[in-house]
Amino acid sequence: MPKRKWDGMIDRIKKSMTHACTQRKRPMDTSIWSRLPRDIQQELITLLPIPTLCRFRSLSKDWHAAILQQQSRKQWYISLGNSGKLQISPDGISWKVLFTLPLPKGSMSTCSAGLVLAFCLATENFVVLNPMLQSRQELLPRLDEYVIFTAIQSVPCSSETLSYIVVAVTSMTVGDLRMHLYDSRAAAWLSAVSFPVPDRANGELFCCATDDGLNNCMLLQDDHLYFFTISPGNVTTLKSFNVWNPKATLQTVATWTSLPLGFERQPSYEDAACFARSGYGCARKDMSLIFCGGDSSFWCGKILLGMMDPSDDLSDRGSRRFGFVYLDEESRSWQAMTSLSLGSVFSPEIFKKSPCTFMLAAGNNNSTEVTLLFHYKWGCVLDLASGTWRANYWYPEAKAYAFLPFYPSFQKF
Amino acid sequence: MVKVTLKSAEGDVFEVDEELALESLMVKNMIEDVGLDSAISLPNVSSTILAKVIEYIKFHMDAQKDGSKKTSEEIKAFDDDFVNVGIPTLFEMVLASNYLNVKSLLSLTCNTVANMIKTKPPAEVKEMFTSAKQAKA
Repeated sequence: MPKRKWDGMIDRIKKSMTHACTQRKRPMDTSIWSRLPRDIQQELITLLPIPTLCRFRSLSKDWHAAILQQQSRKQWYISLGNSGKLQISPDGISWKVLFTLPLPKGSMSTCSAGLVLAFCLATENFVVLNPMLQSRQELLPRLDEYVIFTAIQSVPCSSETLSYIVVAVTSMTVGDLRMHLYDSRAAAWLSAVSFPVPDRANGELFCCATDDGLNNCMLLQDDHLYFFTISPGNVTTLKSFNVWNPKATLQTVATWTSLPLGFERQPSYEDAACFARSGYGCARKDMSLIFCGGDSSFWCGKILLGMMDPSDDLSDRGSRRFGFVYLDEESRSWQAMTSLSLGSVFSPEIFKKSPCTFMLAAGNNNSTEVTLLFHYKWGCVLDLASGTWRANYWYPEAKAYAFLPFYPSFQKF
Repeated sequence: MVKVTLKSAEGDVFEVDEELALESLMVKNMIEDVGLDSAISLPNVSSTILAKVIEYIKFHMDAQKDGSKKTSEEIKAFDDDFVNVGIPTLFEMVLASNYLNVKSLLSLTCNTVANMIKTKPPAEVKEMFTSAKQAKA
């Protein structure tokens, strides 16, 4: 794990916290709950449904502490529909509405600490939610710029309140990009750096996502923001910079002209140029940059690229393939991982509809699961550790903007 | 059949088949360490609870044996009846099955506790936990 800029500060805070904890003597609590070993407490808590836990937080200090601790609870799923309904589900089949956002914009992101970042058109502002606590916070002041990418990440700070950072990439005009960084500890947008975007003199283009919820051509991992550019001759480059770096010095992570996926045709410079002329569009509509978390499989801690075969053959969509490659850090090249036909994942009737758009999202640092939302409606989950598709979900609303892994959390922010 | 002697907190002695005793991973480890010659002392488990745990393991071992005529309904009925005890006893069983490391009993008792409290209002649960404490004291 690369060292973050804020690591030193966190260590200091932790030190002062543990110091404070050892100093303060806790009153003897002799209730049967506190006599239970910690793993039994956690075992019991895992067996209780989320709404019950919400009520039981008020039971006692020990209950409260135990409920706060259960971070690694089974992964849930969260989805956002076009009516603004934010729903959670333990299995992806039975959904429960937790929140209704007025006029949400497509993109939404989650972080491992159970926070959700969404964009509301009603207030034209970002809102951070903890759906479990029904609490929300608007990020002020408003950014009066066109948002093309958002990400939220929790910052370990103290055990009582949760801190987070939000990264938003905005665009004033085509190709003119700015990155904004919000820090909840300061409750303000800390910095706005102009993107050292692509060398436009050489015709290099930035590949960004469209505003329809396909918020996945960029990746925020730890303190690095990753994104693509494409140059004439179909040279694609994965670049990154440290979001805490005020000069946003660019690093080239990998360069390639084709991916080892065996697809007939891959997104080309011509596509990118065509999209760039049309506005804020994207040449990578069927491409997703994801991070594989967890700690048990070969892929863990690696950057992955998921991609749909961009062939235009609409007659036989079931045979359309999509695949994953992973970034081999030593050789700085993409290596093939797996590829599958859509027909092996989804049932045939859904291919009758068009267009074929999909989005992929990895959960977070704890998860080896990748969720896939196809045609705004069909979701499935790939577990990269075992290489198996777990389920085939149908989202109940007309159109789903997001289908993401989610870890319920009860920490206040 | 080799016998194992288990000694409860009160010092009561329970003689059980080795096969049965090995169902407790904790006892299994003890046997591997110290052998079968001396009694295995379980200072954290009272006689009443130890008797219950033995009863539980015995029933389930019999039910799993070839030629057992027990239906899954009967097993479920036994389990339901087995955990149909007061809160204090139930918690003692949770602790004992955790200490003795009997996975199936631990999950049965934990599930029972969870089912009992999940629909109750917090105040009632609080009372439940307090009364358990008083009964224990």
